[in-house]
Amino acid sequence: MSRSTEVPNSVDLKLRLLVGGDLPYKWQVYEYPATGGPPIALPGGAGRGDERVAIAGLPPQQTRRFVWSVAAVNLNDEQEVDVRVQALATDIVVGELAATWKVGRTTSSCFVHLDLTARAS
Amino acid sequence: MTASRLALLVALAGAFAAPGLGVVVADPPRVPAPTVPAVDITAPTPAGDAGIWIRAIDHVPDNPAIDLLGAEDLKVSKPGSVKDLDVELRSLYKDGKVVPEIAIELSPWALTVGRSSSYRDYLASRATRLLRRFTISLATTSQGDGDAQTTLGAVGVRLRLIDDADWRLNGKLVDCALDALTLPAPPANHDGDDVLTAGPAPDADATKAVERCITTHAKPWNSTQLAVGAALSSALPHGKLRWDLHDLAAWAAFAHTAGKASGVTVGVKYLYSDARTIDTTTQSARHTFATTASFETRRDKFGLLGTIGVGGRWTRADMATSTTQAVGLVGGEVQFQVFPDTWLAVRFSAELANGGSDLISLANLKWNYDITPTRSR
Repeated sequence: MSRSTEVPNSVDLKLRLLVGGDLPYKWQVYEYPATGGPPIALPGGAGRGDERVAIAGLPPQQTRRFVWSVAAVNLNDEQEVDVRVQALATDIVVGELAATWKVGRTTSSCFVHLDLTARAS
Repeated sequence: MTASRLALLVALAGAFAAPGLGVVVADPPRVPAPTVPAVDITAPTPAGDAGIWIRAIDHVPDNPAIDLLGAEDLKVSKPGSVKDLDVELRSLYKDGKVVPEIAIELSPWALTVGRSSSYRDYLASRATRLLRRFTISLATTSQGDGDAQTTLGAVGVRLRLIDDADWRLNGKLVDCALDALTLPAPPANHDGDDVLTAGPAPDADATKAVERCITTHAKPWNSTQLAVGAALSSALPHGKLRWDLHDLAAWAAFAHTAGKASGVTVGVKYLYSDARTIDTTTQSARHTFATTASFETRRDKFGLLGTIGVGGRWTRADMATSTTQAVGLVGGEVQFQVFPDTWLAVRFSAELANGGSDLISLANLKWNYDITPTRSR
């Protein structure tokens, strides 16, 4: 499955991570610099639950690459849950990726990738 | 456990194993989820139907199907995905026969809609909480050999209506655990095409920190809980699928805290049992109903359990003949720690049936090693 999705250009966006399974979790979002190098933590890009991170609109055809570091608490048996990352423009989902995550007992972690590419027009 | 300690315990057990007094080396009081102990009037007698056999532990069982079959030794499979469930169900039915010695427990919610339900949904919606606490259990076992072989299959359901021990609703525990988690550093490069990649295994320190949160903040064993459950079983000669009603049971129990280290439990159980589905020459079908009240206290060095119960049994031999028996009973158990990893329990029970008075004793001997210490209260 591709980790890339298209979004409208020049529109301010909010990014959101959703983890299912009724599980509490926390996260930190990073961005891979366009020039290469290790990912950089976004200011204000950490939280618990389905909080959102604001990012500025992208010029046409520009791509930005994000990754969430996620850790969840699960005091029940191992379970498979749905994970989604969304880009929202004024609360409307304009881009979304989904995946499944097997969450072990006590605690588990994962990385969720999202590449946003702004449409040409 | 050294040999000398074992020998001492055997001697102690022998000294107490007098008529009317049972001796059990048992688990220490623990934190089950949920424990709703009660004397069980409806449990089958060891030799058929002659009397009332009393078990001092019963509640709405975690796996009603296993409980109905009396197959507590079965290893329970708990599929975490629909794919896992598919594998388990395929193992349950092979070559046109139901396979014995299999137990499955599943949460329909967790396997379907609950996969994408958020923690926020769980906190906000009572319906979500109830759906997650609803489980279905399946179990099979075998009885007899050769031509007389019969597979017994059971299906059960269980619902916790109230659960004050629910960890998801324990804000202090969840906050503590989230604070204890360390988020792993993301991959240095952006290779690959998968949306989700697994993180590193949690390090030992983080796991210990979360476990400390559980120890510190988990609700005690005597938290308030209300649960209901039901199960039915069918006899399947040679594993061939067919429908009949071998046993049917229904449970309801309410447990409530009674001080820091004690709890009170009220429970009811109904059991319909018809052994004629296996052996047509056996006794008639039987209905039993019991209601019990228990008080239990658990201390660091000892535990006490007292139970009173009333119930009745109704047996119908044919369309014209039936018998009814009323039963009252009282039971008690004392548990105390003799070594750090070994507990001794002395149990007694007495029964009054149909206005007569019969003193029935339950004596058994059970050893447990490597016992998990009692959790903090």
